[in-house]
Amino acid sequence: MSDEKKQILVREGWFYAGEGESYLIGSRCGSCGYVSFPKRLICPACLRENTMEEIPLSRKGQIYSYTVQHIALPGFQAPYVVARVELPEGPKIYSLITGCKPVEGALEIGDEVELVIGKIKEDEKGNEVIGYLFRPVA
Amino acid sequence: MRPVVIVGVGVTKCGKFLDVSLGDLAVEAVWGAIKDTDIDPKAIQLAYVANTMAFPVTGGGGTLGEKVLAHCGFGGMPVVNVENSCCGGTTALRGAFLEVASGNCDIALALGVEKMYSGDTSKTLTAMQGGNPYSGMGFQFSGNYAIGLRRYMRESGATREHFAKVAVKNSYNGSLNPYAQHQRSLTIEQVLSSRPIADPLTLYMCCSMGDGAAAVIVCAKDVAKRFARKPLVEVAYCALRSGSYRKIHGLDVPLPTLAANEAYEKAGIGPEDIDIAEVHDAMAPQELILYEQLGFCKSGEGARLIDDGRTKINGDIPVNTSGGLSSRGDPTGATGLYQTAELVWQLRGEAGPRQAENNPKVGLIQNQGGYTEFDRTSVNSVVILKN
Repeated sequence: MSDEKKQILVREGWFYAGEGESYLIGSRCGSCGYVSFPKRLICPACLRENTMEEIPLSRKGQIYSYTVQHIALPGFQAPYVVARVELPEGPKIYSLITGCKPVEGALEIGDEVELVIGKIKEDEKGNEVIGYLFRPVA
Repeated sequence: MRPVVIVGVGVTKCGKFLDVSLGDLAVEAVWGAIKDTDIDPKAIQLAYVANTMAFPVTGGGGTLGEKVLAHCGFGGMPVVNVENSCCGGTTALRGAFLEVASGNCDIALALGVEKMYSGDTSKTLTAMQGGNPYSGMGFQFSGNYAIGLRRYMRESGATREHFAKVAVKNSYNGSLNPYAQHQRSLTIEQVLSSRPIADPLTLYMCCSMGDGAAAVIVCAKDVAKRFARKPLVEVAYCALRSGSYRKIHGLDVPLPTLAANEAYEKAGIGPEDIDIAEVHDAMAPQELILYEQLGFCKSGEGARLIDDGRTKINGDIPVNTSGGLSSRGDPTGATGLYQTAELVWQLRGEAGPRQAENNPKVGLIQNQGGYTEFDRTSVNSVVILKN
C-alpha cells in the first residue's frame, strides 16, 4: 500500500497554478468596478446579482503592514511573518510572507512583494498543503 | 417603545476554572442578579443567552441557554440562544431590551456564559479563529490586531510606550476589581518586556482566555419600583451593526463609528456627553484607536488622551475602569454583559475603589466580535446607559 505524501490545496478557488504563470483569482464588478479577493458571487457595493466576473490579480503588491507572529497555529512554526498586502487593483489581502527573516525590522511598510504559490505547511497526515505566499522582491 | 431599565446585575470572577461547569457559572451570575433586587425569580418572563464556544470546546452542544437556565431552576419561559462571537453579551442585552421596550414582556434576563478552558488550549485557539478561512494559512487574531496597530503607529505617531500605557492603566483598574482575571498592577517596563505575541503586541497587552458568566435583568421602568433595591439605570439605546465591504458615501467608515453614530443619534446625545465607557480592548492598545472611532477625540489623537491621563479612573472620560478585556478578562459570550455590569455599578455609584470621580451620568459600551473578512470585524455593538 502506497503511503506517498500528497499535495493538497489549502482552499479551492483562491488561485490558479498551472502551465505558465500562477495568479490569485479575484472578482470585479462589471457595474461599479469593485474588486475583491477572494472572488465573490454578489457585489457588496451594488447588492445586485450577475455583475461579478473572475479576474486574475496582479502578482506584485506592497506591504501595507505586517507582524512577526509568535503564536503558531497547527502546522506552523513560530516565529513567522504575516502581512496585509495591498494589490494595485485595490484589495488589501492577508498573506504569509516568505524569503525574509522572522524578526522585527525585516520588512518595511511599502516594500514591494511578489506572489509565490507553494507549500505553506504539512497537515497531520504529512501531506504538503499548497497555498499562496508573498516574498520581498529582490 | 417604552423606557427600559436595568434592575439587577450579577457576575462571576473571570478566570480558569477547570472544575466549574457552564451551568455552575450561570447559577452564580443569574442568582447574583436576582439577589441584586427584591424580585420574585418567577417574574422573569424571557431570556437571551449568549455563548460562543460550547460546541467546539466543551461539548455543551445546542440549546445551551435552555440547559444552563434549567440548571438555574428555570423552565417554561422563552429562551433565545445568541451566538455573536465576543459581541454576544451586548447582543443578548439588545434582545432582552427590545422585548421589554416593545411591550412583549415586562421583565427579561440577558445572560452570557462561557468556558474557554477545557484542558486543551489548542482546541480553544482553533475555535477562536472562528472558522476564518485564513486560519489554515496561519492567521491568528492577535497577529491581525498587530498588523492594524503597526499601521496605526505609522499613521498617528503612536508608540509602543503609548500602547503599554493602556495596559498599565487597565491592569491598575483590574487590580481594584475583585472579579478581574488579572489583578496585578503593571509598569510600562513590565508590559514592554513581557513575551512577544505578535509585534508590537506583548503578552501583557493581550487579554487571556477566560471562563465566566454575567447576568443582567431588565424591566419596564414603570414596573421596576416594585422590586428594585438600587438606583435604576436606563438603557437608552442598543445599536448593532455588521461588517460591511461597502464604501459608504465614498468613505470606509469603521464599524465602531457606524454603531456609535447610530447610538448617539437615537439617544439624542454626542460623544462629548459620554462620562464613562467600557470598550473592547481584546488587545489593550486597540483602546487608542477606539477613542478616535467613538469620537472621544479627533482622528490620530488617541495617544494624547492616554498621555494626558484623561481616561484613568480620576480622569474626565474614564475608560475601562473594570480593567477592560485585557485585565478583567474576555469570556467571549459574557464580555458585553461584564461591560454592562461595570457601567451599572459606576452609574449607581457603587463601584467602590474603582468609582469614577466625575460623577458619571451617561455611559457607553462598545463591544465587538468575529471577522467577515480578515480585516473586517463581523459585528459591533454600542449601548448607551443613563442614570
